[in-house]
This record gives sequence, C-alpha cells and structure tokens, in this order.
Amino acid sequence: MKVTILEKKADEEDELIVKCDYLDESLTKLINQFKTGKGKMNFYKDSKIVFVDPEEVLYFESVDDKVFAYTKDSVYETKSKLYQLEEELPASIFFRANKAVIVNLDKIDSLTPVFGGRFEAVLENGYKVMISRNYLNTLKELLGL
Amino acid sequence: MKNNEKNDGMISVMINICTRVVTIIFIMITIFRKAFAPAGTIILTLKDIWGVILIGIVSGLGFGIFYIKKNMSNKMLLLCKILYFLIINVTLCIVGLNIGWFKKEVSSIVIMEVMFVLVFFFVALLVYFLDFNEAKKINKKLKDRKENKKG
Repeated sequence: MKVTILEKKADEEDELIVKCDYLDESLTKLINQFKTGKGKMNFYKDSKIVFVDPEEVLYFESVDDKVFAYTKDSVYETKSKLYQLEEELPASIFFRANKAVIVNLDKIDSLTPVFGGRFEAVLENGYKVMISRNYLNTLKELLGL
Repeated sequence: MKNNEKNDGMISVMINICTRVVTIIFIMITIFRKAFAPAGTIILTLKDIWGVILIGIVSGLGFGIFYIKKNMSNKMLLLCKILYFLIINVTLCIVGLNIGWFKKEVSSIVIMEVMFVLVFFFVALLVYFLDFNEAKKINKKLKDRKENKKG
C-alpha cells in the first residue's frame, strides 16, 4: 500500500484520506482504529460499543464461538476471532496460553505447575488460566528464557 | 514452521519421558536386587533390557497423547491419567508374563504391581519437580519484567 503524507495549511484540520477500490476488512479495521484513536479496541457490553485499552485486558477467551475480553472489573464481547486477535495484538505482551485463551503477560502474577504437565497462571485479580505445555515455549521466549 | 516446532517439542518430550522411565526402572531393579534378592538371583538378560525399553517407549508415546490434547477439563485430564496408568500397566503385564518377570501367582503379581506404582509415581513426582523449577525461573523473569516496567 502506498502512503503519502502531505503538508497541510496552518488553518486546516488533520485529515486522513483513504483511496481504494473498496473497503475490505483490514482497511475497515484500520479506519476504525483511527476513528477510535489511541489504539483502543472496540468491545460490546449490553449491546453498547465500549472502547477499551488492550493493555487493560487480562485475557481473551473463546467460549462457544464467541470471544470475550476480561478486564479487572468487566467482561466484554469482541467480534474478532481468537486467531485475528493473535495477529492484531502486540506480540510482546499477548501470547496464546492454550487453544481457547490469549493472555496479557503483564497481568500474570505467578505461575504454578499442575500435575499432568500443565501450568496454571494466576492473574492480577486472582483469575486462573491454564497454560498448555505446547505454548509454554512462547511464554519463555517472551521472557527471554 | 510453527507446526514443525510443536512436533519437535512433542517428540523431545516423548523421548524425555521414555528415558526417565527406563532409567528409573533400572534404578528400582538395582535397589530391589540389593535390598531383597540374594546375590545372583536376579540376572538381567538382553530380553529383559528390551522389555524395559518397550515399557519406556509406551510411556513416552502415552505421554505424547496428553501433550497433543491442549484443552482438557480437569475431568478429562483425570480420565486420561487413569487411561495412561492402565495402558502402561497392561503393557507391563504382557511384557512381564512373556519375558518371565513374574509368574501367574498372586504374590508375584502384587510385588510387580507395587514396583510399577512406585516407578509411576516417582516419574510423576520428578516431572512435577522439574516443572516447579521451570515455573520458579518464569516467576523470577515475570517479577523482573514488572520491576523494570515500574522503574
């Protein structure tokens, strides 16, 4: 994609022009990001759209084809699939903990082993999330181990 | 690429478990021989060594099945553990009876079962302690990361 930056006149407002054949999914997402600003994500709660800073999210969980975002005090629904979130979220903070969960590394308080070769992550608010051995290496890489 | 890495990881875990099981069985045989059997009454033949290796391979493969299952509920996990225990136990019975590790007598089968349970729990405990050590390293890194972010 070509990016052109033009200098505006002093009295003009900042403007973003998108020149394309049609608005595909990725462009729509990009425009939404600009509209909402500051990299916030749009979630749904009680049929209302709520903008939340991704860093506030403790973890994302896929339950029966729906994906939920858990923060310290609330649970929101997101229309994105888990694999899409995995691509969109900063890989230095979020990692896949098991098939159904993406965790915010900065919200993990501690890790404990569980019999059966799995690990349990205790999050800041006391929530517990299972980390499969398959994904443990990703966590270790993120921490430089 | 990611799938290959996962497969490599899985194979390495399976080999790891196989090696641990084989090692602990030999350690148990040595301790048992020293403690209960008079010198010269327990002799390991090549057939016996192959039998031990076979049990090690089945243990490794069985553990691989757990490893593939990523999202198990606690109930499923318990069921898999019981199945794993039974699969190895049945393998031990078949191998043991064919090689002649024990006779078709209650006392002989009981001794073999006691040894099997000891080895099984030794390995489970060893895996747990290794994981505990790993969790300790990760927790230290998590703490450092949080302190770095604050500072």
